[in-house]
Amino acid sequence: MNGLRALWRGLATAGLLAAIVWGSLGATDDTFPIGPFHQYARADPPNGRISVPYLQGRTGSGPWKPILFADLGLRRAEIEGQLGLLQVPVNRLLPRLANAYATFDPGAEAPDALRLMYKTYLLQGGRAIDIETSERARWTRS
Amino acid sequence: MDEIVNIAGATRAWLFAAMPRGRIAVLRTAIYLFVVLDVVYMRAWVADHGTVPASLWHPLMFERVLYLPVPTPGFVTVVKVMLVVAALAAASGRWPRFAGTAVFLLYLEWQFIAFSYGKVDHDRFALLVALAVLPTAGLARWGDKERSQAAGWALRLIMIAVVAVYFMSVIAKIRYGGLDWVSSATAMRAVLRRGTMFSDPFRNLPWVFVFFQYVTFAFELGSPLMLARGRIGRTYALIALGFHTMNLFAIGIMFWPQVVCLGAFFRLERLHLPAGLAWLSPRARPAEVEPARLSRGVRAG
Repeated sequence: MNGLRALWRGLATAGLLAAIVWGSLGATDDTFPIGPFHQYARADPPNGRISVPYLQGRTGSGPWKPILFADLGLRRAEIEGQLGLLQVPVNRLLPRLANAYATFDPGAEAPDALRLMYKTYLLQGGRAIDIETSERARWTRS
Repeated sequence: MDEIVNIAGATRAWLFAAMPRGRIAVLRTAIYLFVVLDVVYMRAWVADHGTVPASLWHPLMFERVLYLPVPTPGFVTVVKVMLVVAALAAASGRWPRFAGTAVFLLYLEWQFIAFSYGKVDHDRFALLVALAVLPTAGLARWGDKERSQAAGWALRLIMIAVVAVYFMSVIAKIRYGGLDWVSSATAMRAVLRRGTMFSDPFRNLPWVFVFFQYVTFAFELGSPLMLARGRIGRTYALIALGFHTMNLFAIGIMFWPQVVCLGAFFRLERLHLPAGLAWLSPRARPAEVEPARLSRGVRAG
Protein backbone atom coordinates (compact mmCIF):
# COMPACT_ATOMS: atom_id res chain seq x y z
CA MET A 1 0.00 0.00 0.00
CA ASN A 2 1.53 3.31 -1.02
CA GLY A 3 2.14 6.17 1.38
CA LEU A 4 -0.86 8.29 0.42
CA ARG A 5 -3.33 5.41 0.76
CA ALA A 6 -1.83 4.44 4.09
CA LEU A 7 -1.92 8.07 5.23
CA TRP A 8 -5.63 8.66 4.58
CA ARG A 9 -6.50 5.30 6.10
CA GLY A 10 -4.42 6.15 9.17
CA LEU A 11 -6.17 9.51 9.48
CA ALA A 12 -9.58 7.86 9.05
CA THR A 13 -8.71 5.38 11.80
CA ALA A 14 -7.64 8.19 14.13
CA GLY A 15 -10.89 10.00 13.31
CA LEU A 16 -12.95 6.93 14.13
CA LEU A 17 -11.18 6.43 17.46
CA ALA A 18 -11.62 10.11 18.34
CA ALA A 19 -15.33 9.90 17.45
CA ILE A 20 -15.77 6.81 19.62
CA VAL A 21 -14.06 8.38 22.65
CA TRP A 22 -15.69 11.80 22.33
CA GLY A 23 -19.04 10.19 21.55
CA SER A 24 -18.95 8.17 24.73
CA LEU A 25 -17.54 10.81 27.06
CA GLY A 26 -18.93 14.10 25.84
CA ALA A 27 -21.59 13.73 23.16
CA THR A 28 -25.34 13.15 23.30
CA ASP A 29 -27.90 11.46 21.05
CA ASP A 30 -28.17 14.72 19.12
CA THR A 31 -24.78 14.10 17.49
CA PHE A 32 -25.78 10.69 16.08
CA PRO A 33 -24.11 8.68 14.53
CA ILE A 34 -21.47 9.79 17.03
CA GLY A 35 -22.73 9.41 20.57
CA PRO A 36 -22.88 7.42 23.78
CA PHE A 37 -24.11 3.81 23.66
CA HIS A 38 -26.50 4.36 26.57
CA GLN A 39 -29.29 1.92 25.78
CA TYR A 40 -30.19 0.29 29.12
CA ALA A 41 -27.36 2.26 30.77
CA ARG A 42 -29.45 3.97 33.44
CA ALA A 43 -29.63 2.41 36.89
CA ASP A 44 -33.23 1.84 37.97
CA PRO A 45 -33.44 1.74 41.79
CA PRO A 46 -34.53 -1.70 43.10
CA ASN A 47 -37.08 0.09 45.31
CA GLY A 48 -38.30 2.51 42.67
CA ARG A 49 -41.05 2.68 40.10
CA ILE A 50 -41.11 1.58 36.47
CA SER A 51 -43.64 3.30 34.25
CA VAL A 52 -44.91 2.25 30.85
CA PRO A 53 -46.96 4.78 28.84
CA TYR A 54 -49.92 3.90 26.67
CA LEU A 55 -52.57 5.81 24.80
CA GLN A 56 -56.34 5.65 24.81
CA GLY A 57 -58.84 7.46 22.60
CA ARG A 58 -62.59 7.80 22.36
CA THR A 59 -65.22 9.17 20.02
CA GLY A 60 -67.99 11.27 21.52
CA SER A 61 -68.90 9.91 24.93
CA GLY A 62 -68.05 6.33 23.96
CA PRO A 63 -65.73 4.07 25.89
CA TRP A 64 -61.97 4.63 25.98
CA LYS A 65 -60.21 2.32 23.56
CA PRO A 66 -56.49 1.56 23.25
CA ILE A 67 -54.55 3.33 20.51
CA LEU A 68 -51.32 1.74 19.41
CA PHE A 69 -48.34 4.04 18.97
CA ALA A 70 -47.85 2.31 15.62
CA ASP A 71 -51.22 3.80 14.59
CA LEU A 72 -49.53 7.20 14.79
CA GLY A 73 -46.46 6.10 12.81
CA LEU A 74 -44.39 6.23 16.01
CA ARG A 75 -42.87 3.95 18.67
CA ARG A 76 -43.50 3.99 22.41
CA ALA A 77 -39.88 4.96 23.09
CA GLU A 78 -40.28 7.97 20.81
CA ILE A 79 -43.18 9.29 22.86
CA GLU A 80 -41.06 8.82 25.99
CA GLY A 81 -38.19 10.62 24.26
CA GLN A 82 -40.39 13.55 23.26
CA LEU A 83 -41.57 13.96 26.86
CA GLY A 84 -38.23 13.20 28.50
CA LEU A 85 -35.09 14.04 26.56
CA LEU A 86 -36.73 16.57 24.22
CA GLN A 87 -38.84 18.08 27.03
CA VAL A 88 -41.96 18.61 24.93
CA PRO A 89 -44.79 19.65 27.33
CA VAL A 90 -47.45 16.95 27.43
CA ASN A 91 -50.26 19.42 26.71
CA ARG A 92 -48.51 20.30 23.45
CA LEU A 93 -47.66 16.71 22.62
CA LEU A 94 -51.17 15.26 22.77
CA PRO A 95 -52.72 17.43 20.01
CA ARG A 96 -49.70 16.60 17.86
CA LEU A 97 -50.33 12.90 18.46
CA ALA A 98 -53.99 13.36 17.52
CA ASN A 99 -52.81 15.04 14.34
CA ALA A 100 -50.40 12.16 13.68
CA TYR A 101 -53.26 9.67 14.07
CA ALA A 102 -55.29 11.57 11.47
CA THR A 103 -52.44 11.83 8.94
CA PHE A 104 -51.25 8.24 9.36
CA ASP A 105 -54.57 6.80 8.21
CA PRO A 106 -56.80 9.57 6.82
CA GLY A 107 -59.65 7.06 6.33
CA ALA A 108 -59.80 6.04 9.99
CA GLU A 109 -62.27 7.64 12.40
CA ALA A 110 -60.25 10.19 14.37
CA PRO A 111 -60.81 10.19 18.15
CA ASP A 112 -62.40 13.25 19.76
CA ALA A 113 -60.36 12.77 22.88
CA LEU A 114 -57.00 11.28 23.68
CA ARG A 115 -55.42 10.47 27.01
CA LEU A 116 -51.92 9.45 27.95
CA MET A 117 -51.94 6.73 30.58
CA TYR A 118 -49.18 5.12 32.63
CA LYS A 119 -48.97 1.61 33.95
CA THR A 120 -46.56 1.80 36.89
CA TYR A 121 -44.86 -1.14 38.59
CA LEU A 122 -43.86 -0.53 42.21
CA LEU A 123 -40.62 -2.34 43.02
CA GLN A 124 -39.38 -3.63 46.33
CA GLY A 125 -36.02 -5.37 46.44
CA GLY A 126 -36.06 -5.48 42.64
CA ARG A 127 -39.37 -7.34 42.55
CA ALA A 128 -42.65 -5.82 41.30
CA ILE A 129 -45.08 -5.90 44.23
CA ASP A 130 -47.91 -3.77 42.88
CA ILE A 131 -49.22 -2.14 39.71
CA GLU A 132 -50.92 1.24 39.41
CA THR A 133 -52.55 2.88 36.42
CA SER A 134 -52.86 6.64 36.18
CA GLU A 135 -53.83 9.32 33.71
CA ARG A 136 -51.02 11.74 32.91
CA ALA A 137 -52.83 14.11 30.55
CA ARG A 138 -55.93 14.41 28.40
CA TRP A 139 -56.71 16.24 25.17
CA THR A 140 -60.20 16.94 23.83
CA ARG A 141 -60.95 18.28 20.36
CA SER A 142 -62.30 21.82 20.71
CA MET B 1 11.63 6.36 22.54
CA ASP B 2 12.32 2.92 21.11
CA GLU B 3 9.22 1.60 22.87
CA ILE B 4 7.07 4.30 21.27
CA VAL B 5 8.49 3.47 17.84
CA ASN B 6 7.86 -0.22 18.46
CA ILE B 7 4.26 0.38 19.56
CA ALA B 8 3.62 2.60 16.53
CA GLY B 9 5.12 -0.04 14.25
CA ALA B 10 3.10 -2.85 15.80
CA THR B 11 -0.10 -0.78 15.58
CA ARG B 12 0.57 -0.02 11.93
CA ALA B 13 1.33 -3.68 11.20
CA TRP B 14 -1.90 -4.74 12.92
CA LEU B 15 -4.00 -2.10 11.21
CA PHE B 16 -2.68 -2.81 7.72
CA ALA B 17 -2.26 -6.57 8.01
CA ALA B 18 -3.23 -8.22 4.73
CA MET B 19 -6.46 -10.24 5.02
CA PRO B 20 -8.39 -12.37 2.54
CA ARG B 21 -10.54 -10.62 -0.03
CA GLY B 22 -12.98 -13.51 0.19
CA ARG B 23 -14.01 -12.37 3.67
CA ILE B 24 -14.82 -8.92 2.30
CA ALA B 25 -16.89 -10.50 -0.50
CA VAL B 26 -19.04 -12.57 1.88
CA LEU B 27 -19.38 -9.71 4.33
CA ARG B 28 -20.48 -7.38 1.54
CA THR B 29 -23.16 -9.78 0.43
CA ALA B 30 -24.40 -10.26 4.00
CA ILE B 31 -24.30 -6.60 4.97
CA TYR B 32 -25.89 -5.18 1.84
CA LEU B 33 -28.61 -7.84 1.81
CA PHE B 34 -29.19 -7.08 5.49
CA VAL B 35 -29.68 -3.41 4.57
CA VAL B 36 -32.41 -4.42 2.11
CA LEU B 37 -34.08 -6.66 4.69
CA ASP B 38 -33.81 -3.98 7.36
CA VAL B 39 -35.38 -1.29 5.19
CA VAL B 40 -38.26 -3.28 3.70
CA TYR B 41 -39.10 -5.67 6.54
CA MET B 42 -37.30 -5.58 9.90
CA ARG B 43 -37.63 -1.83 10.40
CA ALA B 44 -40.39 -1.05 7.97
CA TRP B 45 -41.72 1.41 10.57
CA VAL B 46 -39.06 3.93 9.54
CA ALA B 47 -41.06 4.64 6.38
CA ASP B 48 -44.08 5.50 8.57
CA HIS B 49 -42.21 8.58 9.77
CA GLY B 50 -42.95 10.12 6.39
CA THR B 51 -46.58 10.53 7.47
CA VAL B 52 -45.80 11.94 10.92
CA PRO B 53 -46.48 15.71 11.19
CA ALA B 54 -43.41 17.95 11.13
CA SER B 55 -44.33 19.22 14.60
CA LEU B 56 -43.03 15.91 16.00
CA TRP B 57 -39.80 16.04 13.98
CA HIS B 58 -36.70 16.99 15.98
CA PRO B 59 -33.80 17.06 13.51
CA LEU B 60 -30.48 15.80 14.81
CA MET B 61 -27.35 17.96 14.68
CA PHE B 62 -26.11 16.70 11.29
CA GLU B 63 -29.58 17.14 9.80
CA ARG B 64 -29.62 20.75 10.97
CA VAL B 65 -26.09 21.43 9.75
CA LEU B 66 -26.72 19.82 6.35
CA TYR B 67 -30.24 21.30 5.99
CA LEU B 68 -31.73 17.87 5.38
CA PRO B 69 -35.46 18.08 4.62
CA VAL B 70 -38.40 17.12 6.80
CA PRO B 71 -39.36 13.52 5.95
CA THR B 72 -42.51 13.40 3.82
CA PRO B 73 -44.14 10.32 2.25
CA GLY B 74 -42.63 11.19 -1.15
CA PHE B 75 -39.14 11.88 0.18
CA VAL B 76 -39.10 8.73 2.30
CA THR B 77 -40.22 6.62 -0.67
CA VAL B 78 -37.50 8.05 -2.93
CA VAL B 79 -34.80 7.38 -0.32
CA LYS B 80 -36.14 3.88 0.28
CA VAL B 81 -36.25 2.90 -3.41
CA MET B 82 -32.79 4.34 -4.15
CA LEU B 83 -31.38 2.62 -1.06
CA VAL B 84 -32.79 -0.79 -1.97
CA VAL B 85 -31.56 -0.52 -5.58
CA ALA B 86 -28.08 0.60 -4.49
CA ALA B 87 -27.87 -2.12 -1.81
CA LEU B 88 -28.83 -4.86 -4.28
CA ALA B 89 -26.20 -3.58 -6.72
CA ALA B 90 -23.60 -3.46 -3.95
CA ALA B 91 -24.56 -6.93 -2.69
CA SER B 92 -23.61 -8.31 -6.10
CA GLY B 93 -20.05 -7.17 -5.37
CA ARG B 94 -19.90 -5.07 -8.52
CA TRP B 95 -19.27 -1.31 -8.56
CA PRO B 96 -18.13 -1.53 -4.92
CA ARG B 97 -17.06 2.10 -4.68
CA PHE B 98 -20.00 3.73 -6.41
CA ALA B 99 -22.80 1.48 -5.17
CA GLY B 100 -21.21 1.09 -1.73
CA THR B 101 -20.80 4.83 -1.22
CA ALA B 102 -24.40 5.40 -2.33
CA VAL B 103 -25.61 2.81 0.20
CA PHE B 104 -23.61 4.45 2.98
CA LEU B 105 -25.00 7.92 2.32
CA LEU B 106 -28.58 6.75 1.77
CA TYR B 107 -28.56 4.46 4.80
CA LEU B 108 -27.21 7.29 6.94
CA GLU B 109 -30.11 9.48 5.78
CA TRP B 110 -32.47 6.55 6.50
CA GLN B 111 -31.17 6.50 10.07
CA PHE B 112 -31.72 10.25 10.39
CA ILE B 113 -35.33 9.69 9.29
CA ALA B 114 -35.61 6.89 11.87
CA PHE B 115 -34.11 8.69 14.84
CA SER B 116 -35.43 12.25 14.61
CA TYR B 117 -38.63 11.63 16.55
CA GLY B 118 -37.34 11.21 20.08
CA LYS B 119 -35.40 7.93 20.13
CA VAL B 120 -31.90 7.08 18.89
CA ASP B 121 -30.92 3.42 18.79
CA HIS B 122 -27.32 2.46 19.43
CA ASP B 123 -26.98 -0.75 17.46
CA ARG B 124 -26.25 0.95 14.10
CA PHE B 125 -22.74 2.25 14.75
CA ALA B 126 -20.68 -0.74 13.58
CA LEU B 127 -22.91 -1.19 10.53
CA LEU B 128 -22.44 2.45 9.52
CA VAL B 129 -18.68 2.10 9.89
CA ALA B 130 -18.83 -1.09 7.80
CA LEU B 131 -20.83 0.69 5.09
CA ALA B 132 -18.27 3.53 5.13
CA VAL B 133 -15.21 1.31 4.71
CA LEU B 134 -16.45 -1.55 2.51
CA PRO B 135 -16.29 0.62 -0.65
CA THR B 136 -12.54 1.08 -0.08
CA ALA B 137 -11.67 -2.64 -0.22
CA GLY B 138 -11.78 -3.04 -4.01
CA LEU B 139 -13.32 -5.91 -5.97
CA ALA B 140 -13.61 -9.16 -4.06
CA ARG B 141 -14.88 -12.62 -4.92
CA TRP B 142 -16.37 -15.32 -2.68
CA GLY B 143 -13.76 -17.90 -1.74
CA ASP B 144 -10.86 -15.64 -2.77
CA LYS B 145 -7.93 -16.50 -0.46
CA GLU B 146 -5.73 -13.74 -1.89
CA ARG B 147 -4.89 -11.26 0.85
CA SER B 148 -4.81 -7.51 0.50
CA GLN B 149 -4.04 -4.68 2.84
CA ALA B 150 -7.09 -2.75 1.64
CA ALA B 151 -9.30 -5.66 2.70
CA GLY B 152 -7.40 -5.96 5.97
CA TRP B 153 -7.81 -2.30 6.87
CA ALA B 154 -11.56 -2.37 6.14
CA LEU B 155 -11.99 -5.50 8.28
CA ARG B 156 -9.93 -3.99 11.10
CA LEU B 157 -12.10 -0.88 11.22
CA ILE B 158 -15.27 -2.97 11.34
CA MET B 159 -13.73 -4.98 14.20
CA ILE B 160 -12.77 -1.82 16.07
CA ALA B 161 -16.31 -0.46 15.68
CA VAL B 162 -17.89 -3.72 16.89
CA VAL B 163 -15.67 -3.85 19.97
CA ALA B 164 -16.21 -0.13 20.64
CA VAL B 165 -19.97 -0.64 20.84
CA TYR B 166 -19.51 -3.24 23.59
CA PHE B 167 -16.67 -1.58 25.46
CA MET B 168 -18.08 1.93 25.33
CA SER B 169 -21.41 0.57 26.59
CA VAL B 170 -19.60 0.01 29.89
CA ILE B 171 -18.42 3.62 29.83
CA ALA B 172 -22.01 4.72 29.16
CA LYS B 173 -23.27 2.60 32.06
CA ILE B 174 -20.77 4.30 34.38
CA ARG B 175 -21.58 7.74 32.92
CA TYR B 176 -25.37 7.41 33.15
CA GLY B 177 -25.96 4.78 35.81
CA GLY B 178 -22.80 4.77 37.92
CA LEU B 179 -21.27 1.64 39.37
CA ASP B 180 -24.64 0.89 41.01
CA TRP B 181 -25.81 -0.18 37.57
CA VAL B 182 -24.76 -3.78 38.15
CA SER B 183 -27.04 -4.15 41.16
CA SER B 184 -29.90 -2.00 39.82
CA ALA B 185 -33.30 -3.07 38.50
CA THR B 186 -32.47 -2.14 34.91
CA ALA B 187 -32.82 -5.65 33.45
CA MET B 188 -36.00 -6.13 35.50
CA ARG B 189 -37.30 -2.89 33.96
CA ALA B 190 -36.56 -4.23 30.47
CA VAL B 191 -38.40 -7.47 31.23
CA LEU B 192 -41.41 -5.71 32.81
CA ARG B 193 -41.71 -3.51 29.74
CA ARG B 194 -41.02 -6.09 27.06
CA GLY B 195 -40.66 -9.50 28.63
CA THR B 196 -41.10 -12.76 26.72
CA MET B 197 -42.39 -16.23 27.57
CA PHE B 198 -38.78 -17.10 28.45
CA SER B 199 -38.07 -14.20 30.84
CA ASP B 200 -41.49 -13.51 32.39
CA PRO B 201 -41.30 -16.59 34.66
CA PHE B 202 -38.25 -14.99 36.36
CA ARG B 203 -40.05 -11.79 37.37
CA ASN B 204 -40.14 -12.93 40.98
CA LEU B 205 -36.44 -13.77 41.00
CA PRO B 206 -34.70 -10.37 40.78
CA TRP B 207 -31.31 -11.88 41.60
CA VAL B 208 -31.38 -13.63 38.20
CA PHE B 209 -31.45 -10.24 36.48
CA VAL B 210 -28.77 -8.79 38.75
CA PHE B 211 -26.58 -11.79 37.90
CA PHE B 212 -27.29 -11.15 34.21
CA GLN B 213 -26.16 -7.53 34.70
CA TYR B 214 -22.85 -8.66 36.23
CA VAL B 215 -22.36 -11.02 33.28
CA THR B 216 -23.18 -8.24 30.80
CA PHE B 217 -20.78 -5.81 32.49
CA ALA B 218 -17.97 -8.38 32.51
CA PHE B 219 -18.61 -9.39 28.91
CA GLU B 220 -18.56 -5.79 27.67
CA LEU B 221 -15.48 -4.95 29.74
CA GLY B 222 -13.61 -7.91 28.27
CA SER B 223 -14.73 -7.25 24.69
CA PRO B 224 -11.31 -5.96 23.48
CA LEU B 225 -10.24 -9.62 23.71
CA MET B 226 -12.23 -10.03 20.53
CA LEU B 227 -9.36 -8.29 18.76
CA ALA B 228 -6.90 -10.98 19.85
CA ARG B 229 -5.53 -13.12 17.04
CA GLY B 230 -6.84 -16.56 16.22
CA ARG B 231 -9.03 -18.69 18.40
CA ILE B 232 -9.30 -16.32 21.36
CA GLY B 233 -10.80 -13.56 19.25
CA ARG B 234 -13.15 -15.90 17.40
CA THR B 235 -14.29 -17.54 20.64
CA TYR B 236 -15.10 -14.15 22.16
CA ALA B 237 -17.06 -13.26 19.01
CA LEU B 238 -19.00 -16.51 19.47
CA ILE B 239 -19.71 -15.51 23.08
CA ALA B 240 -21.03 -12.20 21.72
CA LEU B 241 -23.41 -14.12 19.46
CA GLY B 242 -24.60 -16.07 22.52
CA PHE B 243 -25.07 -12.80 24.42
CA HIS B 244 -27.27 -11.39 21.65
CA THR B 245 -29.28 -14.60 21.43
CA MET B 246 -29.91 -14.42 25.17
CA ASN B 247 -31.19 -10.86 24.76
CA LEU B 248 -33.49 -12.02 22.00
CA PHE B 249 -35.06 -14.64 24.24
CA ALA B 250 -35.23 -12.33 27.27
CA ILE B 251 -36.61 -9.09 25.82
CA GLY B 252 -37.26 -9.85 22.16
CA ILE B 253 -34.49 -7.55 20.94
CA MET B 254 -31.72 -8.71 18.63
CA PHE B 255 -29.06 -6.18 17.73
CA TRP B 256 -28.99 -7.45 14.17
CA PRO B 257 -26.62 -4.86 12.64
CA GLN B 258 -24.06 -5.65 15.32
CA VAL B 259 -24.54 -9.39 14.79
CA VAL B 260 -24.01 -9.09 11.03
CA CYS B 261 -20.81 -7.10 11.59
CA LEU B 262 -19.50 -9.83 13.93
CA GLY B 263 -18.92 -11.73 10.68
CA ALA B 264 -15.69 -9.75 10.26
CA PHE B 265 -14.14 -11.91 13.01
CA PHE B 266 -14.80 -15.24 11.31
CA ARG B 267 -13.08 -16.99 8.41
CA LEU B 268 -15.80 -16.26 5.91
CA GLU B 269 -13.28 -16.65 3.08
CA ARG B 270 -13.82 -20.39 3.43
CA LEU B 271 -17.34 -20.01 2.11
CA HIS B 272 -18.00 -20.57 -1.58
CA LEU B 273 -21.01 -19.78 -3.69
CA PRO B 274 -22.71 -22.86 -5.12
CA ALA B 275 -21.30 -23.67 -8.58
CA GLY B 276 -24.42 -22.44 -10.34
CA LEU B 277 -24.21 -19.05 -8.64
CA ALA B 278 -20.47 -18.44 -8.97
CA TRP B 279 -21.06 -16.00 -11.83
CA LEU B 280 -22.73 -13.66 -9.33
CA SER B 281 -19.44 -12.85 -7.67
CA PRO B 282 -17.06 -10.57 -9.59
CA ARG B 283 -13.44 -11.36 -10.35
CA ALA B 284 -10.80 -8.91 -9.16
CA ARG B 285 -9.26 -7.10 -12.12
CA PRO B 286 -5.50 -7.63 -12.44
CA ALA B 287 -4.92 -3.91 -11.87
CA GLU B 288 -6.56 -4.17 -8.46
CA VAL B 289 -4.41 -7.06 -7.30
CA GLU B 290 -1.73 -5.62 -5.09
CA PRO B 291 1.94 -6.52 -5.55
CA ALA B 292 2.76 -9.92 -4.10
CA ARG B 293 5.38 -8.47 -1.74
CA LEU B 294 2.61 -6.57 0.02
CA SER B 295 0.16 -9.44 0.02
CA ARG B 296 2.75 -11.63 1.65
CA GLY B 297 3.48 -8.99 4.27
CA VAL B 298 1.95 -9.18 7.70
CA ARG B 299 -0.85 -11.74 7.72
CA ALA B 300 -3.77 -11.90 10.05
CA GLY B 301 -6.71 -14.22 10.49
